[in-house]
Amino acid sequence: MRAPPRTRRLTAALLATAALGACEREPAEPRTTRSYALGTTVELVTWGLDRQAAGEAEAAVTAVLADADARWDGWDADSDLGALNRALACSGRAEAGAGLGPVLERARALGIASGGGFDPTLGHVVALWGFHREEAIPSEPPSAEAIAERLPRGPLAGRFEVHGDEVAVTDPNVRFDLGGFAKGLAVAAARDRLHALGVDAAIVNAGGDLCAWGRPGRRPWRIAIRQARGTGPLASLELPEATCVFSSGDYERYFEADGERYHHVLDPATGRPTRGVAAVTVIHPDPGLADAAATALMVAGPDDWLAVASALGIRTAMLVETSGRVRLTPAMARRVRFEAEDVATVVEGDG
Amino acid sequence: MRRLGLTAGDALVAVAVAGAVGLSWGWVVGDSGTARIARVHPGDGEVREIRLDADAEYRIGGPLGETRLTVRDGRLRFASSPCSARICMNAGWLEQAGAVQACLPNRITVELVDTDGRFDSMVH
Repeated sequence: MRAPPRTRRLTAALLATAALGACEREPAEPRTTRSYALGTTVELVTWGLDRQAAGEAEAAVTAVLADADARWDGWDADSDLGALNRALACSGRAEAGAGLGPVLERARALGIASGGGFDPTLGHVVALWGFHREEAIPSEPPSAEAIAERLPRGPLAGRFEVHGDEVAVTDPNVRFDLGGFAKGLAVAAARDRLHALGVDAAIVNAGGDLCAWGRPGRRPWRIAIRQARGTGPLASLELPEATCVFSSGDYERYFEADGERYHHVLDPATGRPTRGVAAVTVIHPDPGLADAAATALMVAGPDDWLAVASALGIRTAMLVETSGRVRLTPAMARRVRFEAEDVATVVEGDG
Repeated sequence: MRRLGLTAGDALVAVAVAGAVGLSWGWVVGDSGTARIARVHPGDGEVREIRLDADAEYRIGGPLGETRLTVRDGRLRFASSPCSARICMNAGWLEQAGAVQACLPNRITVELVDTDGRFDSMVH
């Protein structure tokens, strides 16, 4: 028997409403693409962009990061920083590329604020160890004599001067290396470029350090933090606000000799790899600061990391000791959820 | 319902349609993955997906030459690669969703796809 006309009209109206709802339904999955820049893999995660806009975003990030390499890669002889280092080795005074002087000054300010744990003048010692080379990892440590010969002397504050576009070094052992800072600057530049393109929700992840903003739909971005010994997640957190998560660790570029691990994060005071800390994770909306802080906290170690974090204005941080124990600030403890089992933790500091 | 001019049949239709809308939303926003897979990104080449539920060897070309990946017991590792640093090989077996490993000199990145959709990115 055929339904009465009124029932048929009601049914049609309700089905039409359901169909309209389906049309307005948002994309379910973020889109992830990968490229190579800054000597590492770069991951761009976007949400809510059509294919053309996503392609434009990818191209913009690639261009920005290539520009960052051309400015701040101290191991590329043709970059602005590489050319400056070469010129300074000859004369001790040279013109820096546009904008490089303020970058060096900011790096020095962070280094001073960190108590010297982050040091942008350590390039000669970094070169001795060889971790900066993409194609090869060293197999034995440099001699103590070689390190002592190339370690910069005197306080960081006095090692170089910047006057306009001119840089002068007072210590011939100064070679600029912006590892532990340049990636933060590059990610900031990529983020700013994507904002200018109107990308409202994205993650830019350069070699495991990221900035995120917006939301993929109704939920916040969900970030995993890798284990220091293993490849799976140690912990996870949600990012409902625009911020950056940077890490430093002893587990990606290292070699072992005579039962000892030698990794790429050097203590500027000794010129040797730090000890006792497997990884540090920092959350802060300023990626340059977060990058430098992650390095400085590894250098500070379990005894001094809270004081250095406080000096740098870092409230949300986590330090993983080589024993596996995890130290967290209260702000980090409130945010993080542990994914690995049997993790020994201690919450310390104020806040 | 009589005051609104609706009958029991009208109410039944409305409930059925509302239920269908609700179920369809769940299908769109819920998890969709079932098999565990690894995604291989070879530089400028096309992304390739590898199933982890069948033991196999894969050869992926890069600018330095061929990288070999081994899948066994649901895990994946870099068996060999033409780089001299061997960081990729030293990383060992990848087995957890979200794990990422790359041979940077040969421009090959492998990620174990998080088919549960738990994480959008990983800090490392």
